[in-house]
Amino acid sequence: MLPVVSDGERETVRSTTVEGIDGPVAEAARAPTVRVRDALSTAREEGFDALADVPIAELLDRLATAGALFLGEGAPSAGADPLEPFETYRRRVTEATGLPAGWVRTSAHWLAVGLRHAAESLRAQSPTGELDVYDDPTYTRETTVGLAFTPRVRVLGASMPANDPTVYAWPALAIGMRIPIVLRPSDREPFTAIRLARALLAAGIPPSAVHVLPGDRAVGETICREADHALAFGGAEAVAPFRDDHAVETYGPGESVAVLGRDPTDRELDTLARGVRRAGGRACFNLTRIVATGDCDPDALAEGVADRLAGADAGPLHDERTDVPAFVDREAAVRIDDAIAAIDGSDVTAADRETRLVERDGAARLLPTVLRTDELVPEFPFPFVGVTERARSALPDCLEGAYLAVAIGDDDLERRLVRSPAFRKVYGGGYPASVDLRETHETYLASFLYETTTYDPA
Amino acid sequence: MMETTYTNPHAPTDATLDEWVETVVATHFDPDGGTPYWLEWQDDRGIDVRERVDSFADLRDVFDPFDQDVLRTLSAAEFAPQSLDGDRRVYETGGTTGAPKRVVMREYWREQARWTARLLAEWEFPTGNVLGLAPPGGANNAGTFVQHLAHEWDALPYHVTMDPRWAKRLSERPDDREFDEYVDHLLEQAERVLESQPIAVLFTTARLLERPRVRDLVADSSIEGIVHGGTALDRDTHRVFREEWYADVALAGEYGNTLMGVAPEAPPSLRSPSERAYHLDYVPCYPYFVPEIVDDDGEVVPYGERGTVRLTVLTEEFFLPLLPERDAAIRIEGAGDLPWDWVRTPGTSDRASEDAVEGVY
Repeated sequence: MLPVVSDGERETVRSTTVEGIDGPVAEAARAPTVRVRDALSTAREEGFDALADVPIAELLDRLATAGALFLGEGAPSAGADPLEPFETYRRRVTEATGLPAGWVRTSAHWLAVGLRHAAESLRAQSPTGELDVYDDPTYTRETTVGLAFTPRVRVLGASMPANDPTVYAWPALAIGMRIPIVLRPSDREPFTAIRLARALLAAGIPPSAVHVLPGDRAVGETICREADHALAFGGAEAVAPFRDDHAVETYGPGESVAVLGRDPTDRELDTLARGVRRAGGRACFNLTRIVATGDCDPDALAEGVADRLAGADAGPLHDERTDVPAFVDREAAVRIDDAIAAIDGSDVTAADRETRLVERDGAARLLPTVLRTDELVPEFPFPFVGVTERARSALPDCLEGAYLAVAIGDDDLERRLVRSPAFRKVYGGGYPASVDLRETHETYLASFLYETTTYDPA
Repeated sequence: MMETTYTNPHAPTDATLDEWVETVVATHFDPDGGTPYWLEWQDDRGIDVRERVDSFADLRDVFDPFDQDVLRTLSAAEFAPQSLDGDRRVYETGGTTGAPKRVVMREYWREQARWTARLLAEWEFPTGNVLGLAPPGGANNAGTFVQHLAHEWDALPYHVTMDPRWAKRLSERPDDREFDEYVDHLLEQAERVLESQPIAVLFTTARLLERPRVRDLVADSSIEGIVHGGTALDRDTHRVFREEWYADVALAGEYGNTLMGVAPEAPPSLRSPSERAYHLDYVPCYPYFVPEIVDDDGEVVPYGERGTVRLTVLTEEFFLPLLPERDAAIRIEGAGDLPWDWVRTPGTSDRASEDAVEGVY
């Protein structure tokens, strides 16, 4: 059974089956609400103090070790149990989520990179640009202004998603900032959470600071409501209860967007297609909408992206070259296929195939799809994008809510995107090449885990 | 098929179930002192129920599933025998699944408290002053039950009363803060009682016991035993309660409601919590009420299987045959001197959960 990890590992009387492509993959514990409250209390008291006792350099070394352990590299500290082989973890994630092997490996790699390079992320979020402010919070500005960079919470909670293991880097970075974490993993993919917790503990992170509680959705809701601050990942329905809660950061849906003020170059088209296809099309950073404005021809733009997606590989899920994810629940794929068919527009990718919904390697797949449409399409968990046209005057207001925005060929629009508080990640000139954990995820952790206060020792 | 030949050594009657059915039917269908509703029901059908019913099994041949809406609209006196005199009271259900249902009772809750006290004695459960933390008073039965339970122990009842209908409305609001403030208001009152009064037993809901403030309140008090009821309790929470949060006090559950009565948790001497995988096993007050666990066709499920609860209440104060309840539960065999069917881990059934707000009381 995938256990509750909270001051040791515990199995529960009840469990739930994690279903996979070829049948059950694992049993996962059901943490009761009282265990959440114990975890929050332990994290808030002992966990916070235990992390405060570890020098920042030592803490970051342990995170780096955890990153290596997560990937199946390095050795755990004395007395710690080794983690299961990385390939076993990888296969279980693929089986349970339908995410192809290559994307699971890539995503796990970026999670490990986040842990190994936590120092860079922490420096980027430091008011002084240095790490020592996490050991000694006091610093001086304008020669004589005494300030302190102090924690404003003692525990971070999170209700985590199943779409992409990399997202676990963000709560893990909180550990580097000396804030304990209490997480509820998705029932569809609890493997990353358990493996991460084991890696962190094996690397020497205090057990009182790391809590993973597989359980019913109520567990996630309790964590988000009762932690000092929380992250709620998921679709619109999952995050809706927390939209107006100032102590909860809601991450999702992504509905990332690219806006083009002129026809793209081949290289720019390559980056846009990658933005649709990478991570199996399931991450918040995947492009959902590409908007043509000004001199950009939307039909040619759609054709250009479709041409580049035509070669996406829908082969065996455990083959590293496979691009296209599978659906564990075939009915979910049918519903998505029907929903896309109901959108007013034309499927530019349809010419290359008979149907969008196919059966490959024993599982339902939705082949990459580019829809030329006048609508701003919703997000779906496979490589899917809607190409639409909008008057320049309607931009960027009609796109609010996008996790990530790419601007190509319109400097003025690019600046307006940057100035708008509704867009928190803006990239000019093309879709970004990689995940950079020094950047924000919607916002910096430090913006809600820490605050600047006055400290004048004189 | 229900076994009907047992007798309950802790009940006020030593009749078997079949014998008790005859007694109760004779009372409610007595042309002179019977229950107006049932007499009219009988006349409408042109039958003599006393002729037709000799046993528990006969009830299904004569009665349809009881329409509980009757209890929402009928004048309460119409559902009580005319021969029932003395200090009667109208009791109302909490109203978590619609308008409240009403029944008239006189001695029933005192009898249920006596039955509960006798069963808890088999636990060697502590006795003494009882603090009811949030059992509703007024029209609801729970506060009355706490009072009678304390009296069974020759002790004093203390009450922190909750308004379940207001709590329900608060719990339905998207923002939890007002609900939490109301709970804090209740807990502050409980703390004041515990500061100066020698309380031995806390009577409260499982949902309140999930709050760390209640755990701390118990740990810092004179409380030696907790009786919890009113809300479902999952097995993992039960285990944490028993082995961690409330490990230093005796802990017993009770399952019941205004219409049914009280089914206390089975004594651990008959089946320990770990033997039953932390399921909560409840012992109905046979032959006063019989919660049958049935499938979709109304047939009693085999032992160990889950079904919905169909409740039959057989008292000389009121008669309620074949009431489909909102709860689902597992049917299990009884044990020791309590050999009739027990009810395991009841909870709101999937069918009812969309409409009900459980967890208030």
